[in-house]
Amino acid sequence: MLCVKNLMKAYASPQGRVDVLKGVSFDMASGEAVAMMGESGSGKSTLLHVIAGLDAIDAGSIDIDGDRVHALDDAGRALLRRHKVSLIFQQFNLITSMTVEENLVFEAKLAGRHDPDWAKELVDRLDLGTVLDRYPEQLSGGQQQRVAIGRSFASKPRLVLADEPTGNLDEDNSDTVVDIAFDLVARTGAGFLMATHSRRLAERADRLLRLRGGVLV
Amino acid sequence: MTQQAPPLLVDVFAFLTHWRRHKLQFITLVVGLASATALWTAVQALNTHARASYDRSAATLQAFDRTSLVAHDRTPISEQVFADLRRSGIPVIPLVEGRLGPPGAGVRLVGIDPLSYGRLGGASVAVPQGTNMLAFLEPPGLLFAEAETAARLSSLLETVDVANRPVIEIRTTLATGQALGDIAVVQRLLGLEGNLSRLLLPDEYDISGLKLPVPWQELLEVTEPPVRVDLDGLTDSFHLNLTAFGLLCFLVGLFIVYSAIGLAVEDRLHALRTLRICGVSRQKLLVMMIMEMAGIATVAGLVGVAGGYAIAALLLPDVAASLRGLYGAQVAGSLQLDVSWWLGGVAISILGALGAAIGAFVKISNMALLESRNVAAWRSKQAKTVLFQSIFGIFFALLALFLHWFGSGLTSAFVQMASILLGAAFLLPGLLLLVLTVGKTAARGPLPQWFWADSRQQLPGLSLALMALLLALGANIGVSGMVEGFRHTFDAFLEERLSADLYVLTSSNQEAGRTIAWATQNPDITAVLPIWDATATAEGRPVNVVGFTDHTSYRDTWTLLENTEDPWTDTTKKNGVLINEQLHYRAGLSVGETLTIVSETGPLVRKVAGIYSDYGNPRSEVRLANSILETYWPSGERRRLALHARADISEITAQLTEEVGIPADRTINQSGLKAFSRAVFEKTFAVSAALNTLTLGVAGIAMITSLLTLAGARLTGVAPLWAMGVRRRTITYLEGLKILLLALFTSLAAIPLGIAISWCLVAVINVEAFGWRLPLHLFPDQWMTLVILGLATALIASLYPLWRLWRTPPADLSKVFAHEH
Repeated sequence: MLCVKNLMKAYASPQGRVDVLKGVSFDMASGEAVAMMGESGSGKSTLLHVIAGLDAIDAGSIDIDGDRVHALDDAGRALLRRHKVSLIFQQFNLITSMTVEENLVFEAKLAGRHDPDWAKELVDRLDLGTVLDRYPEQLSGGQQQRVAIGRSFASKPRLVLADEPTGNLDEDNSDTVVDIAFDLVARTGAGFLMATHSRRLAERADRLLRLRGGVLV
Repeated sequence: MTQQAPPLLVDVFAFLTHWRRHKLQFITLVVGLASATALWTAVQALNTHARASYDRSAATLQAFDRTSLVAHDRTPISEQVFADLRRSGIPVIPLVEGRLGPPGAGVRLVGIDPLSYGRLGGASVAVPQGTNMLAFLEPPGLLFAEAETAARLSSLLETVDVANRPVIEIRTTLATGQALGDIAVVQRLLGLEGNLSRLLLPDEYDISGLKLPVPWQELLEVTEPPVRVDLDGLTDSFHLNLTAFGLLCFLVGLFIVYSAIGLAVEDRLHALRTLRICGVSRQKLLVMMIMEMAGIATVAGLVGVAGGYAIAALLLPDVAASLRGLYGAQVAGSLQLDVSWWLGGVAISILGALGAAIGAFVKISNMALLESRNVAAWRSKQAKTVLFQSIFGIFFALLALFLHWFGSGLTSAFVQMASILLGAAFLLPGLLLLVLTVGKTAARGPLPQWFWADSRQQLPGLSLALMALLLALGANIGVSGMVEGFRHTFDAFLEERLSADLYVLTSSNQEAGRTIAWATQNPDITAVLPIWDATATAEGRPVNVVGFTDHTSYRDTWTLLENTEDPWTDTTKKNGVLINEQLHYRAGLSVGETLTIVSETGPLVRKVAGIYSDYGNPRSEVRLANSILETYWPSGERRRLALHARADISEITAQLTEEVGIPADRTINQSGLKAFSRAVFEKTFAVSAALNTLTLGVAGIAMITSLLTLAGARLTGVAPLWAMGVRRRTITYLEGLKILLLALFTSLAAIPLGIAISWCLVAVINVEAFGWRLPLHLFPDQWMTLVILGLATALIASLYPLWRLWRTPPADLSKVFAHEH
C-alpha cells in the first residue's frame, strides 16, 4: 500500500544545508500498524510530512496505492490528502472555531465520504457523546486527541500518519488513544504509521522502524 | 568572560528584543501614530494659520476703518479740502485707498501721511521711524505688505517704470491682500494724484461739535466705521467642522495603534512573565513599557508633524478659497512651520499612544506570574468583549437621542454626531457576530461551515479595523450626502434667486440714479429692479436690510419656507417684512410675529410675512420695500441694480460702459454669477472631501496593518485545512472572500450610519452653525459607490497579506505541525 524508496530531503538553515533524510526506504501493507522511533531531529516528522505530500522531496519516490506522490503537483498532493491520507498531530490541530461534532465529520465531508452511521459509531467508540457540542479548547488533551483520531478515521482513509499523537498526553490517556487507533486500523484496514518516543507504545505496533541521522537502521 | 552589563540594561535589552523579531508590529505602531498625528496636525495647522490671518486682518481693519469724512457720492476728495479743513482747525488725517489689479488677484493699497497718522489714537499700524521714514517718504518710496501679498504686489508693479517703482518690504503684521505706503506713492500708483479717499477723524474728536466750513458742507458727510465682521466668531463653525474631522481622523488612526499594541502585548506576555520571574518588578516593567511607548510615539510624532505639514500645505489653497468664499476672510497662502507644531504633534502622539495603551498597561499590571490554561479561551473572551462593546454602543446611541431632544448649541450638535459615530462603531462587532452566527447556522457543507465559523473567530482581531472602516465610510456617506443634497438645493436656489439677466454694482448712489434713468429709457431692458442695502439691529442682533421693488420675478420664482397668504403684498404694500432663515432660527421668529428693526430714523415695527432660505449667507437679513428703506435709512446704499433684458447681455454691458460709464468689471451676468457661486460652493467642500478621502485612507491602513499582524496567527488557523487536502489557492480565495464579506457587511452598516450623519449635518449642525436647514436628500447611487469603495479598500488592504498566504511555502505551513525534524 505504501512504498517509500530512497527518500532524500534537505533543508537550508543559517548554518548551511541540513540533510534530514538520507535515503529512506520501506514498505507498508494495508491494515498494518507501524511505529517509528528515533531521537529528536532524526527526521521522523519530515518523513511523515513528505509521505503526506505536505512537503516535496529532493530525491527518491513515494507510492500510495499506486499514486506516485513525488510526481504530484501541489493540487495533486492536496487531492491525495483529501482522499487517501489523513494526519494526526501532537498538537491535535483541531479547528477551534468548530464544535467537536463539526470537527469529527469535517474531513469526511470534505472527502465526500461522510457516513453518519460510521460517525456515530466513532463517537461511541471514542466516548465523545457528551461533548459533541463543546469547542476544542473546552476539552482535556486526551479528549482533543480522541477527536483528532475520530476526525482522521471518519473519512476512512487508506493511510493514517500520526506524528507523536501521545506526546502531550499522560500514560493512561496515551494507552487509551493508541488502543483506539489500533482498533480502528484493524476495523478499517487503513495503514497506520506512527512516530513516537515511547518504546512501550511502539512495541504494541505490528512493526517498528528506527530512524537515526536520516536513515533507517 | 565578557564584561557584565549593568542589570538595568540587561532587562531593558531583553524587554526591547521583542521588536527585533516583530518588525511589522513596530512599523504598524509607527504608521498608526504617524498618520493619526499627521491628520490632527494638518487640521490644527490650518486652523492656527487661518486664525492668525484673521487677527492680522482685524488689526489692519481697525487701524484704518475709523470715523471719517467722505464725499456724499463717495468720489475722491481734493487735497485742497484737506488743507482747508486743517486750516479751520479740524484735525483730519488724510488717507487714500484703492485696489491695484483685478478683483480677486489685486491688492488693496492704503496710503497714509506717516507724520499725521502717527498721532492718531487707538489701534493703528506701526508707522516707520528714523531713516526708514525717509525711505518711506522719498521717491520711489516704500510699500509694506506681508510675504504673499508682497509677491503679488511685486508682479503687479512690474509695469511701473523702475525709477517710480516703490521698494516692497515685508511686514508680517499686515493683513493678507493689503499694502501700506506713503500717501504720495499710493496716489501715484492708483492714478489719484492730488486726491484723497477719506479724511480720518481721531478717536477723541467730538463729532457732535463738528462744523464743516460752508463750501464743504454740501460735499462731505461723516461716516462711521462699518460694523466689523467678527471673523473669529463667524468662522468658528468652519474651524469646528475641521477640528471634528481632524479628531475623527485621529481616532481612526488610534484604532491602528490600539490594535498593534494589543497584539504586541499578547505576543510579549510570555517574555514579560519570564522577566517578572527573573526578578523584574511590576513597577519597573510598567515604567519600561511607558518609556518605550513614549519613545516610539516621539519618533512617530515627528514623522506625523512632517506629514501633517505636507497635508496642510496641500489643503491650504482650498481652505483659503472656502474662507474667502464663505466669509470674505483673507488667509495667506503659505504655511509657517512653527516650533510649537513639532512640540504639539509629539505631545498628541505621546498622549494618543499612552491612551491607546492603557488597556495593555492594566493587563501587564494584573498579569499572573504563572501562565494558567485559559479554558474560557477566545469564545468567552469574545462574548465578554462584544457585550461590553454593545453596552457602550447603546450608551452612545442613548446619549445621541438625549442630545437630540434636550441638547442645544453647536457643541451639543457635534457631541451628538460623535455619539452617533461611536455608538455605531461599538455596536458593529455585535451586529457582525450575529450575522456570522446566522451564516454558520445556515451553511451547508464543510468548507462553508468552516468559512462562517472561522470568520466569527477572526472577528475580534479585525473588529477594530472594521470599526475604523465603518467610521470612515459612515462619515463619507454622511458628508457626501449632505454636500450632494446641498448641491441640488443650491442649484435650485440659484435658479430661483438669480432670475435677473444682469447685475450692476455702481460706484455711488448718484451713479445708480443715472443708471436707473438710462435703463428705464432703454427699450432692450424690460425691468429695472434696484436693490438697496442698509445695516441695522433687530432683536438685539445686527442684520442686513435689503430693499427691493415688487416685481413678478420675485413673486413667481421665490419659494418661501413659510409665509402668509400673500407675503409679497404684505411686505410691499402693508406692514410686512421678509426674514431669512438665519434670523428665523437665531431670533426664534415665525410668520405673523412682530419684529422691531432699529433704523437710522427710529424703530420700525413689522410683522413677519415670510421666511426665505439664504444659503451661504452668514448674516441675519430682512427684506423690505425700497420705499420703506428709503424712508427709514436715508443714508442707505442704493448702488445695486438687477436688470431684465430682452437683448443680448453683452450688448447691454457694452452700452452701460459707453453710455453710463460703468466698467464691465462692475457688471456680472446671470450665468457668470451662477458659475462663480458654484465655484465657491465646490471650493467650500473640497476640504471636507479631501479629509474624507484621507480618513478612508487611514481606515485602509488600519485594515492592512490588522491583516498583516494577524497573518502569522492565520497560518495556525488554515494549516489543518491544508493538511486535510484543501489547496492553498482555495484557502487564499476563502480568506479573501471572508475579508470582503466582513467589509461588505460593514459597508452596508455604514449606509444607515451615513444617513444619520447626513441628517445630523443638515438638520442639526447646519442650523446651529450657519442658521439654515437643508432638506435631507438620499442618494442610493452614492451609497453603492461607497460600498464598492469600502470593498475596494478592504481588497487593496488584503492583497499583500493574501499574496503572502498564497506564496507561503509548504515547508512553512508544515512547520505549524512540526515539533522537530
